[in-house]
Formats: sequence, C-alpha cells, structure tokens
Amino acid sequence: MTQTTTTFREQIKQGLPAELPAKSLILKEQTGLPKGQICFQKKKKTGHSQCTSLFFGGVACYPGS
Amino acid sequence: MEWHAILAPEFADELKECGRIYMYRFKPDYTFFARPIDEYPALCRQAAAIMLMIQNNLDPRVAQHPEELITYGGNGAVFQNWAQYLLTMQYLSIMEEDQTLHLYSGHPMGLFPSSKDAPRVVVTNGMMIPNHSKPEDWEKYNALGVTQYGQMTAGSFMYIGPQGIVHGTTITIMNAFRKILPENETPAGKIFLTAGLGGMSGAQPKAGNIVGCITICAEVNAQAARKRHEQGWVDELIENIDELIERVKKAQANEETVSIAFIGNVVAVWERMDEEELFIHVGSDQTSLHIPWTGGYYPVGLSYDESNQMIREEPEAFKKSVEVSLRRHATAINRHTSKGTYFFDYGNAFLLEASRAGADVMAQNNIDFRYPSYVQDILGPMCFDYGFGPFRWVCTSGSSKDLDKTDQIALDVLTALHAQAPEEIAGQLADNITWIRDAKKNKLVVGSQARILYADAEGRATIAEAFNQAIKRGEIGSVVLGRDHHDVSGTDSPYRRPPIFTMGVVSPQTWLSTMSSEIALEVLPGFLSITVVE
Repeated sequence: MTQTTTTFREQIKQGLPAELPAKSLILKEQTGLPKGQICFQKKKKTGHSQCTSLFFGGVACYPGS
Repeated sequence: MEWHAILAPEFADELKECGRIYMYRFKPDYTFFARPIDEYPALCRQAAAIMLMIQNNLDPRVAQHPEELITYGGNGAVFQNWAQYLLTMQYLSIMEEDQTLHLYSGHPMGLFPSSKDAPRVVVTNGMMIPNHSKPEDWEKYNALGVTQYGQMTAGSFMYIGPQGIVHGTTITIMNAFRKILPENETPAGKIFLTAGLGGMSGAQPKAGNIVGCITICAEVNAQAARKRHEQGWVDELIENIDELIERVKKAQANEETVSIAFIGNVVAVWERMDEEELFIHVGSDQTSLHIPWTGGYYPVGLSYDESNQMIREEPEAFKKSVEVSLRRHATAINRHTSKGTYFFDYGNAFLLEASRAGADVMAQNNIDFRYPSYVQDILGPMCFDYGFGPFRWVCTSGSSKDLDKTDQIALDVLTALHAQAPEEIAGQLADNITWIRDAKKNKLVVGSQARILYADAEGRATIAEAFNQAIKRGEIGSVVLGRDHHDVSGTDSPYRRPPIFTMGVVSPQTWLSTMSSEIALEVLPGFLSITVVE
C-alpha cells in the first residue's frame, strides 16, 4: 500500500479533522460556479406552499389540533 | 466550540459571497478519483463500493464544479458541504453489513440497525414539491442548508461521466432522424442543432457522431466547450458565426459526420440559419433551464461574463433578459419548424420556462405544448413501452480489462437474446448490440471503468447472472450495478419527463416491468439504487 493510499484511508477514518485545517484558498480559485442568490432578506407572507415546503424540508411540522 | 469564533464569520462570508456554505476549509487534500475497491477503509464491500462511487462523482475530470461538490447540471450536488462529505465517508468506513446509513440532502443522519438484505444507504434529496413552491423557495432552502438538488445521479452517487447520457442521447437522435427520414435515407449531411456542453448536454456531439449527422452544439461557456473538446467529446470549436455557417455548408456538401461546438448563444444560430435558409432536420436544447435565473440559461445578446455579473448584481434584470431571450428563442424555432424541422423538448424544461416567459410554445388547446418531449415522442413509444431502459455498471477493480470482459459478456447475452427476439424489440436489441460492440472504440470512459446499456428485464437479469458467473470463475472483480435517471420509473416529472399514460400507447405495466427487473437483480427499491455483484 502506498503512502498516498495510507493517508487517504487514515483521513477517511478520521472524519472531521482533530485540528482546524488551514483556511482554503479555493474561494479565490473558484471554478466559475455562478453564485446563488440569497433571498431570505425579502419579507414574504407565509402561505400554504411555504408551509408545505418547510414541512418537507424537515424544518417545520404541524402538530394537529 | 473553540472553532466557532473562526468558522462562523467565515461561513457567513461564504454564504454572502457564494450564496451557499460549502465549508471549503474542510475539503481534504487527497486526490479524488475512483480508486480500486480494495483501497477504501471499509468493513463491508458494499460500503467500499459506495465510497468508490462518491470519489468518482467528485473527480475533477468528471465533476462540473468539484470544489462546490457539484457533479453536473449546474447544481447537481453530491453533498452540500465538505463536512457532510467527511462524516459520510467516516460512517461508511465503520458500517457493517447489518446497518443502513440514512442521508438527507447530503446530511448523514447516522447508521441505523437493519439487516444484510436491507439497503446499505438510503438517500433522499430535494424534498420540495414543484407545484407548491417556487424557484425562490428552493433557492432559499438550499442556501439555508435544508435541502439540496441531487440531480438524477449526483446525489445518488451513480454519475459515470457523460457516457451515462450518451447512449440515451444516441438512441434519441437516431430515432428522431428515423421518424422524419424516408427509409432509404441516412442522417449523413443532415443537421442536428442544439445547445449545452455541460455534464449531460456534453454527450450530444458524441452521440451525433455515432448517429452520423452534422451536430452543431452552442455553448456560451467557452471553458466548458474547450473542456469537452480537449476530452474528445466534440470535434471542432468555432467562435465566429460566419465561420460556423461556412463550415456547416461545407459539411453538408461533403455529407460529413462532424460535431461542432459553437462558442456563443444558440438563439443567434437558430436565427442566422433561418436567414441563410439552412434546413435543420432535428433541433432540441439542453441548457439547464431547471435553474433559469442562476446560470442555467444565458440570454442572447449578453456575453457569458456580462450575464454572470448581472446574476450577482441585477438578478431581476437578468430574469427579464432570460424571458426576452426565451421568447426570441421560441420564435426562431417556430420559423424553422414551419419549414419542416423536427423539434423536441429534451427534458430540460425549455418548453415550461418558455411558456412561463410568454413565448409562443403552446398548442391550440392552450394546455399542451406545441412540441413533444423526447420521452413522449421517441423514447416512450420506441423503448420504454417495451420495458427497455438504461442501467449501468462499474468495474470496481478499476481495470479497463475488466470493463472489456464485461462488454463482451453483455454483447454475448444480447446477441443470444436477439436471435430469439420478437420483431417489435429486435431493432432495439440490434441498436444496443451495436452500442456495446463499439463502446470501447468510441472512448466513452471518463473516470471510473463504467458502462451504460439499455436492456429489458430479461436482458438485465441474464447479464447480471453472467457477471456473477464470471466473478465466481475469478475472471473479473466485483461489479457495481446501478440505475440511470432515464430508466423506466427512474424519473417522472410532469414537465420534464412525463410518462404519458395514454391508453394504447403506454401502460403502467410496461413502466413497472423494468422495476421488476431491478428487484430480480436484487437491487433494493429506491430512486436510483446501487448493488454490488459478488
């Protein structure tokens, strides 16, 4: 087994690193992914559709009456 | 807690800057590719196979935006962030044969006690209901980390590079030409015009070459076009529309089989070819119109960079530009179809978004679209009605020799079935035999040693059994079998891939028959499932 494979296996078994890894420079080297729009600043009335979405998103549940 | 003070502002910056929290800092420093199955730290073979599939989905040669864990389709996510990735891999490394890992939009929910016969991993993605939510809702909940769009094979780890779609695209284009050409004519010298050179759409030029036509594929992202050209998926790159027209005329005159990537907007090509009176036999579109406002569709008249800037800084104005472009797009297509062009929707929501933009794409009853979807007009009546659909396999040894052997096994099985086949499916089997025979020659592998093939229940079960025998004899290593998004019952969407259960055309039984074949293969029920043949 090569050193590379050993490192790979060890890192997988480790899960989250024990120490905070160095900040990535990837932000500066982005591959061109269009940036998503954040829209939760906008105030909207909550309607049935939003409630349904939230329910299926696992955010909310309706406990019944 | 000690990391909180550092990570909270950093993640907030990512959210502000990128619209998502990717946790870039946690991306591991090892190389991502489908290592042979024995290289994974796993307690059971199935978990190692799933790790292999995940690595392949994040391989930079395979993935569209690997740093953002996006495999294809602009937003087809494997995970939402790198922490989810790390935790999932760790869970897989300790999973035993009587446990099941549950993933919810990339979140590993934990290992649950189950049984050897239960699925090893159960995945759900994109729990949003289109008719009860808006794209803005989706964007919001994705940004909040509540849900992710897994596309068809990204979030289910079954993506095998553009090959996965080449076979279906080949069958679609081949049969589109068959629909419109007299029996004695071939697609030689005839034009197929389309758009998109991304993860899935990038299959179009390769498929066009296999069919033997002139493929013009417009792509606004020069980087994507060049990547496909370098990978050998498209023959030529042209940036100037005058040059494109001259090249197409020459290809027509010489009846060439050639695929051309035009770096520019497809609307301009539709319009210019109308002015030039160039007849387009087959037309379609594979821009990512499931995300029209965030880079899935680029409006004509704006450069790629101008559009991206507008998406960030003037999203509402960008949305209007897209709508104007879609109307213009549809008008140009309508001019061609009035002259005899056969146009079909490729399941990318082109007709849906064009109709929402007010384009002239509705039928006279104002309910249906004036153009069919490819499932409705081509794959449904020609393939799915007979229980044929695509499945795929990956040789986990990573050896191309194993792939060659499995190709030969599948070829032998299909040839034997073809000899006994009823007339209605004999043609389809013959197409599939041609496909598997030429698969290596067509250099389809990008990433893992994988193959896609259409087959019905009998074909799949027989091929799987033959793989098992070959593994027992020690001729090949383990094989991952999986489904494809095109598979019968794989994806049903009212707008994108409608089953069209019309009496006498498609029966629910035919749609279910391929599901039965999956069960026969001991693939457990699921949206897209993976099984490991041992």
